[in-house]
Amino acid sequence: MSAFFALVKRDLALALRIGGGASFALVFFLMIVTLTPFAIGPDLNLLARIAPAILWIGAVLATLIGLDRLFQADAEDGTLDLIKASPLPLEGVVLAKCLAHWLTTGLPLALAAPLFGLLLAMEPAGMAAASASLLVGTPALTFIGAVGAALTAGIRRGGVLIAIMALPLMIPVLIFGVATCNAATGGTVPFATPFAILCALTLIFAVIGVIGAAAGLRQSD
Amino acid sequence: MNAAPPAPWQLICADLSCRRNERTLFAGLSFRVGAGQALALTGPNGVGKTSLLRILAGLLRPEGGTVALDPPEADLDLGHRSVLVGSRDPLKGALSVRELLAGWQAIVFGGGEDILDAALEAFDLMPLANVPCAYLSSGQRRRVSLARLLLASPLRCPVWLLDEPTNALDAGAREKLAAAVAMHRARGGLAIAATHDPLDWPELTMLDLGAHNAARARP
Repeated sequence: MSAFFALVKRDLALALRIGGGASFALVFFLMIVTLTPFAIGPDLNLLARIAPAILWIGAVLATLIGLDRLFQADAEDGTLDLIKASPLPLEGVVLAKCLAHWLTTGLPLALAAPLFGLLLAMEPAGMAAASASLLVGTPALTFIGAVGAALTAGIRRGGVLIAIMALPLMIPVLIFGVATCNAATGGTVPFATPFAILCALTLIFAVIGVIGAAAGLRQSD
Repeated sequence: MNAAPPAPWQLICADLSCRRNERTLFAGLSFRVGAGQALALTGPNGVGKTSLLRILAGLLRPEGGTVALDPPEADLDLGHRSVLVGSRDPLKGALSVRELLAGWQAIVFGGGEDILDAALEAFDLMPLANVPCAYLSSGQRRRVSLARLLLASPLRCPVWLLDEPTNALDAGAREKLAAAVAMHRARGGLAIAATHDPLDWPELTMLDLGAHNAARARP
């Protein structure tokens, strides 16, 4: 267990130092959210209606940032060989690295969502729902991306490949994430229904992603 | 191998073969290394020295043959009984030398602050302990890589696997490496090094993979 937290701590330290890229995802998210009103024009009703979709598309794309380096950086310099000698099973290694990635990518997005919702003329209930849906939904995005990251760990320009592999699998998460936001601001289904499915998706992808990524890393030799 | 004092355990490789990228690097390779011994792997570039070390570290599956400890270890595989210092230095530029080694210790080896200090001391890294790894020279980076050998307890990881350990090292650092290896052997560990440089380690056994391949190729 101490090895698990040491790995999380190390990855967080690396992400937060110069060149670590912890803030890249948040800044990229902000860029997408700010560009949209310029593209759509000053129609506040339209903007408010599509705000959940913009926030979720922004979150999906922002999650991809940094995913290509999730295992590649360690594979390149030989750290991965060293980590494989750890008493921690490879699944635990993947879980630790996903946790560190989510803490520096998904969590800041979820916390910043209300503020960014303001830029998109969202109602307060919508902002709260967006934040909640991102909080429980973004871990699924990280776990899906981790499988792609593990499979492309040995490839130099793997980032685009990860996007091609992971984005189709992220569609269910995107659908139920946006549905959760819409359910909170009126709509035909109660909020709890899409929210519960979103939680279930995260739990499913946590299992599949961790096992799949560990298998991908074992394969890489 | 040569007549050593009765060894309590040994590493036995039997009939090992390795294929990489549709090419057979070596085949039918058998050797034993006992506790307290050291083996130098030599041979021309691309003969499979690094692959052999990766097989011994459990990172690469051999095409055929077996690697085993005698007496056998039931609970741990060889990957957890060995420390591999590869040809690349797994350093993170943003972390200081002490942070990096403390991280390896917590993630891989376990152990306390005193072991970390002893490892830093053994490779003369104390003056560099708080320097970020990005600012180290290649010889200094190599010394940091080698320092992790001393983080592992000799009981848990008796097998040291060294890939070109003397690369970029100056004369002083080579002596420190030789001293560390001698101490490890005295405590009952063994060391296997792939190298092109002559190593001045006492009672060093040589295994020339190039000569092994040539001997097999002869009818």
